[in-house]
Amino acid sequence: MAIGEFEYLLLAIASSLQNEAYGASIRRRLLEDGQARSIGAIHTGLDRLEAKGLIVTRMGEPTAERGGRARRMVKVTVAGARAAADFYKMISVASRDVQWAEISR
Amino acid sequence: MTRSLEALARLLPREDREAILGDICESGLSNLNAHLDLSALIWRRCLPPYAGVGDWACIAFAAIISPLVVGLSVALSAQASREIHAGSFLGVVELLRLSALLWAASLGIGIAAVSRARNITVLTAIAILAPAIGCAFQYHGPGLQMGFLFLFAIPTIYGAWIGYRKRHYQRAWLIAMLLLALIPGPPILSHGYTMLNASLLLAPALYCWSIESVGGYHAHS
Repeated sequence: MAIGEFEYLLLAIASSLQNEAYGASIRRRLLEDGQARSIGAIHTGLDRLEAKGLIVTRMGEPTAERGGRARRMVKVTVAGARAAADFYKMISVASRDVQWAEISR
Repeated sequence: MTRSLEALARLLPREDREAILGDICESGLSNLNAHLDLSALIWRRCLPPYAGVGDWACIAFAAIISPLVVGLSVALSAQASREIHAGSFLGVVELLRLSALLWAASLGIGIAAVSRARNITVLTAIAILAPAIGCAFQYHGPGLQMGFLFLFAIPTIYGAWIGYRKRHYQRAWLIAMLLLALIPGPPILSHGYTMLNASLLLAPALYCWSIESVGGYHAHS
């Protein structure tokens, strides 16, 4: 299944965060990587990925730092991992002979 | 977490609300950013079923035509009182024809707008009725005269109901509408209404477009 750049980012981060992948933690990681996105955009992206069957979500336990509210935990499915791998491969193959650093200098 | 934010979040399903408000709380967003984020999300969630450009165009079209029929309602009522007072038979005939045209156009607007933009029936109704309601608030004349602002409302609502129930009598309605619009009026009132007739022909055009679109949708589904 074809995915876009933002969907790939969400899949990659959710995969690396493993059992700690949820809206706020994904946003934090995106911020650390210089990709500031709103919580709304992240949830919309997660909705889209879930509709495509690339992730599954479930409600976690409530925590005090969230004002006693539950997290929406995210898990990447096999189809999601495959779609992310395909996207990464496509980008890698397309970029194999390109030196962006030199071109953009 | 402010009350207004929690109230805004009520527009989301319960589980989503819990997760999103929790994320906002954990992220420590400012009050303004939290409101903007949440509003954008609600907008995105609500938008997809209504995102068709045709639907929005139809509402815009209805909103543009409805002030015209409000104006025509008022003009007709004023002209009617003058013609009846003067005892002009031709004038009254022309007024009846224009009234029928107005009602046919209103019926068409109702049918067309709701048929095309069935997902947004409430918005469509607001777009159609807003000019009349706005005028009613501005206008402080006698009750009966103010009632003329809504001359078109009954056929429009009836048309919307037909559109919603998908009970189209398209040929009969279209022929009646075209006849009413194309029959030249008696000389007494002719020139001023030529453009009016032409502009009301937009209603059948809108109607045909909506029916074609709905028909196409059913053919594909």
